[in-house]
Amino acid sequence: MSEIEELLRRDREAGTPEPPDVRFTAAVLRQRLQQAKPVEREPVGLMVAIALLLVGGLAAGCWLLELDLRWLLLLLLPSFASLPILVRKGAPQ
Amino acid sequence: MDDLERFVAANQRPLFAFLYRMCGDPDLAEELMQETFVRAIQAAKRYRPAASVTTWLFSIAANLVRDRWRRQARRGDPVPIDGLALASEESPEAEVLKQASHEALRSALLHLPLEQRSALILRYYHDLSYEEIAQTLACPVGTVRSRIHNGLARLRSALNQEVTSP
Repeated sequence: MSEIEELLRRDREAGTPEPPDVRFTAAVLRQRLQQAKPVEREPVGLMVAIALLLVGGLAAGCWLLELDLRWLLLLLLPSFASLPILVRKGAPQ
Repeated sequence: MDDLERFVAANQRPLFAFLYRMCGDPDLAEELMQETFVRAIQAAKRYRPAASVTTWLFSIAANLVRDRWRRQARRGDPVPIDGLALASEESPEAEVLKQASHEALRSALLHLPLEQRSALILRYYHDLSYEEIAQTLACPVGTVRSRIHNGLARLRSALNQEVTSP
């Protein structure tokens, strides 16, 4: 064990300040939970609707301009960037 | 004692200790601890039993500290400096480090980059394994190893400077 690790171990043994009383913390939490709004759901449905509208609009534009609808497949490329957001995991921020 | 009090009693000591060591301020640690509990309770449905409750709470707390630190940085408030230089030469560390006080160590710890600080605190003050730290901080185990290695090196350097400076 290095000297730094030994120092950390000794500092850990020196202790930390006492946390507040459990009942006090619980009372504060009850109050805050009552005041807090329920966690808002992420507007995934709204985002999907907007994306569909955009694709629909572009498809209509392509049709009006007599462009090949296969150009719409290019939209998949920028959408890759949103994948990490859509499948994100982990603790609540 | 109701369910909420039992939940708080089981978790507040390690959580408060973690936050206190991350911030160095008991009032701020208490505020962040309450916020951590509130978020955990609100997001209880998302809790995955693969991780222990304490580990899960640590991960929420670490996110809160990081968010607070970023907000302070955006506002221009003083935040811990990330750029402590590493010592480029070997020194008689054993003797020098023995003189370092707990205060010097805690101060040096508070000046570490957040990622290194949280990894070191979870490892040396809470006995979490590398895998648990990786789960808590949402990063690969190799990253945890390098953060701990670099954090220890920075601590050593900072303490050497502390003791040798007039």
